[in-house]
Amino acid sequence: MKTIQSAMVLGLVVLFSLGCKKEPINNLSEEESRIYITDHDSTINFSNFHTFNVSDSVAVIQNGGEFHRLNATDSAYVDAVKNLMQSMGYVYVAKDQNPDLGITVNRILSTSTGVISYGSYWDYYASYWDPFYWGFPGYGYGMPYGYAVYQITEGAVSVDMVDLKDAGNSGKLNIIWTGLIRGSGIYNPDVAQSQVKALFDQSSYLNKSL
Amino acid sequence: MKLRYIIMSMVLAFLGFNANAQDNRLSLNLNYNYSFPLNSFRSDIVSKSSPRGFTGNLMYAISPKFSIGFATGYQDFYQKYDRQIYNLGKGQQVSAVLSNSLEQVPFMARAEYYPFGNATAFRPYVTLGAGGNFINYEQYLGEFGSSNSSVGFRGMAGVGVKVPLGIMQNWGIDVGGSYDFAPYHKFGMENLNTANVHAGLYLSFQ
Repeated sequence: MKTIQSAMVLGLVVLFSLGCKKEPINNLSEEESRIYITDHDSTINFSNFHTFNVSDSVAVIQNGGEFHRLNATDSAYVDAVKNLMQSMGYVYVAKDQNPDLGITVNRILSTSTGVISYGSYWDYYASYWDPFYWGFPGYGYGMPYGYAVYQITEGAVSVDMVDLKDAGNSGKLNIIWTGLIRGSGIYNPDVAQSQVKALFDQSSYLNKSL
Repeated sequence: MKLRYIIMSMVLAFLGFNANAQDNRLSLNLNYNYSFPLNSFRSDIVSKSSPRGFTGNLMYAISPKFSIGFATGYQDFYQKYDRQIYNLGKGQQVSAVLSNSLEQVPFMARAEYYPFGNATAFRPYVTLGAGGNFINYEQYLGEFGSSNSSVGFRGMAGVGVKVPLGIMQNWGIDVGGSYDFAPYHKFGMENLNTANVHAGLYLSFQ
């Protein structure tokens, strides 16, 4: 009987191993982790726009504040936008040559701060790591501080398209197309071209050559 | 999932408790389970079958032909869909790899009927069950996910055969299949129905 019971216990352990959940996040590559969100003003006919200009730096928007900069990754994104807009039939012009479209590239960073209280954690610490483990049986643990602070930063890259051509008539700068990239490994100059291309590819109405 | 470990602890406790039991009417059954999603479950969430599951039941024999008891288990369904563009609204598109993950933990009252009782070397049976179903559904667009947990109804009907082994014939092999009915009226879906096949061991306690 004991042998059979042991076999059942072993079988149970095997069954529970086979029954493990397949974690979706662990089965994604960096490319698969990314999402591309685009939106546009559906009343706009993009074939009416012919020229464009791209901002010469990237706005880093972080927790409500912002600053402009141009590192290698930022520059790669700006260049990618310029190249891909041209491949879609738009003509790049300088900012003082009245471009029809103004395009900005932005990095959006959101940092959240959390606090872990060590209260209940330390209360049971001796059961996690018995002082006997360190050669001090019967001792207790002392804890001079009670909490830890951590920060998590999440990020995205956005590309926005502003209607400069009709700004004079409408009295405002209408944003007529937006693209957002989120996911792993997007702050990398090597992937900038493919990320911007993904945004434009799913916005076929932008392409003047189709 | 914590519930799986609770179930495991309960079964292990049962095994230990009954080591000296003198009642041969109780039997414990542990099976590997392979599950095929059907109907709305197959068309709306995952079309792939799941090799990640198990079932277990604890039965009490009222007579040689009839047993009643409790059944539970665990099954994990998962499918990753290639990158696609989804239209979310007027003018808005999202391109993403979509992943669906759904776990089911049934807890049911179960009855088994053995038309030939103990008289044959092979003991075919039919079974019915009804009870609840813990459901944890997660959907990911890329690495960005959301989850929803709920409890619903679950019913099942199945057939199988037990093959007693050993000198005392108090343990053996169990193979069979079942149809499980699980309504799920969320996110535009209708049900989580499945067809299942299982194989495992049973142990009768003396």
